[in-house]
Amino acid sequence: MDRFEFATGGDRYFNYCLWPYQPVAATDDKFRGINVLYQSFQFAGVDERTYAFVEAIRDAIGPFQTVFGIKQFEGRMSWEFYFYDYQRLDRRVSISRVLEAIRPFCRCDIVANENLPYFMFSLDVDSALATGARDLDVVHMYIGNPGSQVSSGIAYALRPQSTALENFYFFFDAKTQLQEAADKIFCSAYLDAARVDADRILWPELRDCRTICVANKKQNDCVYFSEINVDQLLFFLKALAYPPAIVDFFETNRGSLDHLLYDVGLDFIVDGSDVRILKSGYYNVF
Amino acid sequence: MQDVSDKPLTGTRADTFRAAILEQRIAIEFGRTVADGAGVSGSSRILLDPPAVARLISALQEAGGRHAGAWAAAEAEPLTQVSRAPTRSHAEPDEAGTRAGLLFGLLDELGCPYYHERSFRIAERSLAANRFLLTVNMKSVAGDAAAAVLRICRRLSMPEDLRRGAEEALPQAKAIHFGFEGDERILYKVYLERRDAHEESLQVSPGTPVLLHIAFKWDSNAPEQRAISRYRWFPQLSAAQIAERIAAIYRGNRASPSFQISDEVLRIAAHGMDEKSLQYLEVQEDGNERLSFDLNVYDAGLQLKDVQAQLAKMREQFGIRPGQFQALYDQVKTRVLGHLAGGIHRNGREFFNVYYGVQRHKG
Repeated sequence: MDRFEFATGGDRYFNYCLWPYQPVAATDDKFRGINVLYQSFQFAGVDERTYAFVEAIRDAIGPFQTVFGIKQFEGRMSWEFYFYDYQRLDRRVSISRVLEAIRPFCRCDIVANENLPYFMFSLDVDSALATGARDLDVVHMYIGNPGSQVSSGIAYALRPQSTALENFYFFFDAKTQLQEAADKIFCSAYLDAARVDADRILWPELRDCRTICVANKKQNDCVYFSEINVDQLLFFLKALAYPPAIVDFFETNRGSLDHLLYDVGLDFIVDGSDVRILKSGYYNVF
Repeated sequence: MQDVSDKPLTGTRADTFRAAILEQRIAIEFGRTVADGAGVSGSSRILLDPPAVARLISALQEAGGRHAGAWAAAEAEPLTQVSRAPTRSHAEPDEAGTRAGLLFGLLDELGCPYYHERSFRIAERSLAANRFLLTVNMKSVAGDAAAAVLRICRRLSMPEDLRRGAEEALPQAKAIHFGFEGDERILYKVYLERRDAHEESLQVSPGTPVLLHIAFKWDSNAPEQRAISRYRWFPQLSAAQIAERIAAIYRGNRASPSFQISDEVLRIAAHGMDEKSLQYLEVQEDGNERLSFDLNVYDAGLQLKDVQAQLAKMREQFGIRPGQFQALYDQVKTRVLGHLAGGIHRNGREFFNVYYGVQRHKG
């Protein structure tokens, strides 16, 4: 694809929390993470303006600063872009700044209060947004959780006229806190721990990662595995029956993608002993 | 430099730095030790191209020498002699940087405005980006402009026969373009743009060529390697007529990747401007196979990223490493696209030159 970009010696590598990592293989002439996003765009046949939308954000806040999630829900693809600045009130990457960058593309009546101590925010992105066919009517804003013993965050939906609680996120070190992560997953209002096999949620194939995040959402829970390798990602994509074109992209180009680490998430519901995946997603950075 | 803390550098004071050589650039980051000594607050990375590095080194040496006495008195202890580690980050400025700096310095000495335009060349397994043109309008030069230009030519060690040719053409010159290439060899070039070319173009039928530039080119370290190039302007051609002429340069082979790339750029440019404003030149040299074109598309208002697909095709066609090209493209993609030159070089091989981002220097 003509738009594809290639790794250079000056590239930086971050996971979906924008924490840095070292590439896990040689990087010479391999794909940048943005190619994963572009391939999903190409597969979904998005409008050309969507690519310009990406460029506008990157021009505004710099390269390797935006996390993207590619989601699959009921056979449909969607995207979410995540922005971090752990400086909080001294932030450089603000809601206001990103909204200004995308102003030429879509209307947004949300005015962010930059005195709030958010460290992260995200936008739901699609062709309709990039072409202005729909307005940006919600920004997901994430704040910390002082006093918690567990690294955690709380998400709110910021709308023009309201702010509403959304989700809770709890982070566990996959190597030293695996049991705590499991305890968190099974301390749930949605499942009977005695009836559900832990491996159905805490996939053994993905446990070799950096962090496991457990999210409590309004209708379901979610588990995320951070910094998995390309082979683990391929397992994930195949297990969840992602479109052949998506799987084929990673299989065919594995040698150009094996230096990157990836993050994945599973939204699930439980019916008796049966665990059903509602939605899933894979993440990288541009 | 110590490990960088998560606190960015604020203010302008720094007590440490680190430098690294990237693709065609030097990267410098400045830092200041944090209060607890646990790390360093770092600045944003600053990227400099080789000519800028040469000028910075020159300026630092001058400033350091001028103030050495004052600093020593203020600190009441001898200045520490900075020892250079035998690493690439502390390498001596290369010859190309010094020679490029010389050309910049000579233009600065004229004390008049000039234009700076960068370019890169793509040829078989070769990507050369240490290239630029400095253009000065003869009317901007105070005093005897021709004499000033010839002094510059002497300072660049222009071979005598080329200098005589330049001296002969100078009375007709409207502008001088001084060129530099510093990748595989160090080349200097002096292009004389003819004052009467525009007037002549109005008196000939459309498509009749008019000599616009005569250029004198030489290898700075091997001056026997030299050339005189003639740039003929074909005024008032339509885009279709330009495409015909470019096809002829590629021996009529419209299926050739080089023709298709050229034609695509031409179409993109023509879409955004009055076709008649497309300035199309052809270049020939005595005694060699060179036959190439130069298409000026500044008026199309394009950025290099607007021809990203065509640049990607060039990269593939000429076997350039993707990461190598990406490092250059990242730096230049938002610059204004100026000229596309291409065709058959004097060595008989195909090439493209992409010129971009002309900027005015006050001088």
